This record gives sequence, C-alpha cells and structure tokens, in this order.
Amino acid sequence: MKALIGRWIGLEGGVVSKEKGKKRNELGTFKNLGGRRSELFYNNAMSLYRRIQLAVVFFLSAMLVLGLSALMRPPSYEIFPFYSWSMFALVPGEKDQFYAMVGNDGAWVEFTRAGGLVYQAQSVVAYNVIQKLGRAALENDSEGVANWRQQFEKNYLPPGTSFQIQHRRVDPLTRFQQERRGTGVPDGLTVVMEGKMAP
Amino acid sequence: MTGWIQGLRKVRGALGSAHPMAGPIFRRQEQGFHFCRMLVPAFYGLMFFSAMQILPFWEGIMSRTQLQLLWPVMWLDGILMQEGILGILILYLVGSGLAMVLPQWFVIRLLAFLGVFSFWALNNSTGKIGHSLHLMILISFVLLWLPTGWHSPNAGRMIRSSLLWVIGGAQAVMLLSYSMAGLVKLIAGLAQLVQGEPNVFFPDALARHVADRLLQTGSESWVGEILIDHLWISGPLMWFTLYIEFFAIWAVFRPRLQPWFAAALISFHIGSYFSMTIIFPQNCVLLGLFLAAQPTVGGWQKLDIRKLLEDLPGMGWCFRFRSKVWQRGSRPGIDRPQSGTPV
Repeated sequence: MKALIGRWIGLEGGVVSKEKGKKRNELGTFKNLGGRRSELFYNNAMSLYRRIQLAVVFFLSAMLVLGLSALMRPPSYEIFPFYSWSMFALVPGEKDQFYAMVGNDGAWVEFTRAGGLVYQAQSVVAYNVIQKLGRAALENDSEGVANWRQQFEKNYLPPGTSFQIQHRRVDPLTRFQQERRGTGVPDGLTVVMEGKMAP
Repeated sequence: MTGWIQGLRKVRGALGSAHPMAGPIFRRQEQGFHFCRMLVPAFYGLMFFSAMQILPFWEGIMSRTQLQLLWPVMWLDGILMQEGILGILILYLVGSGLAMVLPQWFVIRLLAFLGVFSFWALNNSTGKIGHSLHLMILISFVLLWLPTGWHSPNAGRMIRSSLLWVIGGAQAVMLLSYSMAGLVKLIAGLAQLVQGEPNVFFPDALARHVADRLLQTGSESWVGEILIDHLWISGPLMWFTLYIEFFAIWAVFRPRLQPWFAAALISFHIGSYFSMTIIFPQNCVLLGLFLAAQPTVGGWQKLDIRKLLEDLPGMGWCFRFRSKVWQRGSRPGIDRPQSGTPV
C-alpha cells in the first residue's frame, strides 16, 4: 500500500543514504556517490519536492472550493470533513423559536431549566432537535415529526414524561433582557404539538 | 505544472512583506527543519491525548443505535454495529499512540489518520456535526505527505525543504479555515445589511450572538452579560475578530505575523468560552504548536514592532506610501530643506 500511494504522491523519492562517512554537499547529494547516482538522487528529491508543493496547493484549493460549495448543502453546510466554517455567520434577529415544555399538565417547565426531569437539559444538540421537531410540526411534515420526535424522546426524555412544543417569534436580545428580569418563557406562545412518553 | 508554481510564487511575492524576514536563510532552514522534526510527534501526542480523553465514554458511544451514518462510516451499516464501533475506537487509540512514537512510518501515520477520521465521522452521525476535531483530521491528512527520511537529522536539503513545505501546508490549512469563517461572515453580513436585518457591521452583533447562545442552552457565562450590556466593548471586539479571521491566511506568507495571529485566535477561542461557553481546546493547542512557536522559521525572531505593523494586511501600503512621499521630497546625498530655510 505504501508503495502504491507513495509512488503516486512521490514518497519514494529522495531517500536519505544510510551509508556512513559520506559528506553531504549543498544540494543534498553525496560527494562520493558518483555522477549518475548523484544526479538520480537529486532528480528524485527535486521531483518529490515539486509533488509535495503541488499536493499542498491542490489540497488547499479543494478545501476552499468544497468548503464554500457546501454552503449550498443545508442543513449541515458540509461535505464531511470539508466545512464552509459558517459558524455564527448570520447575526440572529427576530426569528421563529420553539420551546419544549416538560412535566405534567398545568405545571410545565421549560426544557433548559428542567435539569432534574430530562437528560442533557443544556445541550445545544437537544436545542437543535427541538427546533427541527417544532419546525416539522408547524409545517405539518409528518415524516419529519416522526423522525425528530423519536430522537427527542429517546435521547432526552425519561419514560412517562409529557411534553409540549410551543412556538413564538422572538428577538434574542429582547428575550435575554426579559429572561434576566425573571419573566420566564415569553407570552403569546402557540402550542404546535403535544406528546407523552410511554411509562 | 512549473508554470503553476511560478504563478503561485508571483502571488506569494505580491503578498510578501515590504521587509521580508532577513537573516541567513539556510541557517533558518536548518533551525526550522529541526523544530518541525519535533513538531510532528507533538502533533500525534495531542491526537493521542484526545483519544485518551474519550476512554470513559466508550461504553456510551458503543450503545448508540439511532445513527444517521456519515459517508466514512457508512460501512458500519452492513456489519455488526457494536463490533464495528469498537474497532474504530481501538484504531483511533492505537493509531494515534503508535504515531506519537513512530511517526516516521507512513503506514502508522495512515492508521492514525483513518482512526481520527472514522471516529469523528462516527461521533457526528447523530444529526448535528461538531467541528472541534476537523482541523486535526485535515492536518493528519497533510502529514501523510511527509517525505521518506524527514526524521533523520542528516536529511538532505530537498528533504528539509519538503518537510518545511508540508508543515507550511498544515499551517495554511489551519489559517485557511479561519479565513473561510471570516469570508462567510462578511458575505452573510453584507446580505443581511442589504435586507435591513441586524448584521455583523452593527455594534450589537456580538451581543446578539451571545444572548442567542445563552438562551439556547439556558446557561450562564462569566462575561456574556457584560458584552450584552456594553456594546462599546462587544462591537469593536466583533470587528477585530472579523479582521483577524478574514486575513488569517495572510500570515502564511508573513511569518512575523504568525505568533500574533495565533495569539489573537487563541484569545478569540478563550473569549468564546467565557462569553458563550463554546470551547475548541484542540484548535488552541494546534495554533500554539504550528503558528505561535514559529516552527517553519526555527522559532521566535527578534520583535520589531514597525515591521510587524507593516506586515499587517491593510497597513503595509500606508507605510510604503509614506516612504514614497518622503523619498520624493529628497535626493540621495541632499538633505530635505527645513521649513523656513531659504532655498
């Protein structure tokens, strides 16, 4: 395998001589190797050097092209492992927000505050699953609801837990100030789906 | 082929500093070569450390069943899932451990690459893709091109140059990823500006990101509220980050900038943790090893603030313009006339 891949990317070129007592000159060859052998050695090393240059430039170009073209591949924006690095690119303004409320009827607790009732209450992955579930429910996408509900229930809810997914458009800065004043979840939420885990 | 390389050399020349790093070039190559020889096992040491850190989670990873497999681990679908996952975990641990000790063996470097690549694909097959190991994967791929004999202290000049090119490639991979992040932020910011939405050019951009993130996770941070309340701090911080990110690739061509860009990017990661609880520890160590330590030029050079400022993107032409104006008014051997001096 090394021979195959090595021949392609030129790893076989420019092998260092293990012969002892030979003085290296400026070109990386050996003075007493003899003309033809010395020339071959130099050519191999030069060819290796060129191939490495090309490989690095090609890889960087591929990284740029594939990464940026991944911007047209939502939702991950990625051709793994080439990513567009579009993290925090869009500044959040007013947007649709879905809240998972868990507990029993009449005593709902917001998911991120329900550390004792659910698994991984502060996980950003859970947040993304809730948003996708809420979006699917809002758009009556039954297949999406089934898929994301299964993930939500299996990974984050213990058996017997009731939950609601509620929706509202909110501005993060305004919402953060409200939250700091202790007003809890925002007013005017619309319930987009309800469910209960089997005991 | 040669034309391409010559073209790229012209680009490098155009991006080059007004005052390229002086000094004995062959001695710097010698120093850089020995520095990079040590850097390669250090990189695999970091990979091994990352592999060791997930040991307590092996059982949890193996018990996963609801997976949306990414393409590098699609083959798990056809075999016994648990055994396959165990094989990937062992490959990651053993491959990176061996590569730390014997990085001169191509096959071992290949095993380490396959281990970290498969593990990260498996770990991200849950619906959301994380990015803390992406740079490590890309660099371990670049390190596959290390030439035979790179580890020998008696390697010839071409081998030394090749090693320095590979390490330079790894530096470029890291910096390009930050430049891409800056580019995408810039494009998205312009699009949002045109649509009249909040955008990266507004002073509340960072405050909005912090508020949104803290609401998503219901968590608290040390400096999050300060950044939200004081836009005169968070606004310039966001713009400075955008500048550093967008021009990060510049530092590949200007080694004097590398440690300072690395320090700025590490500070950005530390700041992200204290404001938004997002952490990229591997990236910070990689920035430290591959850029802050200046491996390709053999370690730190004497600090010259004027030359450093001239190297900064957007600053060099200011200095050149100033120098040209100055030179136009004077001739060799003739002093500039002083104000009030009769001509």
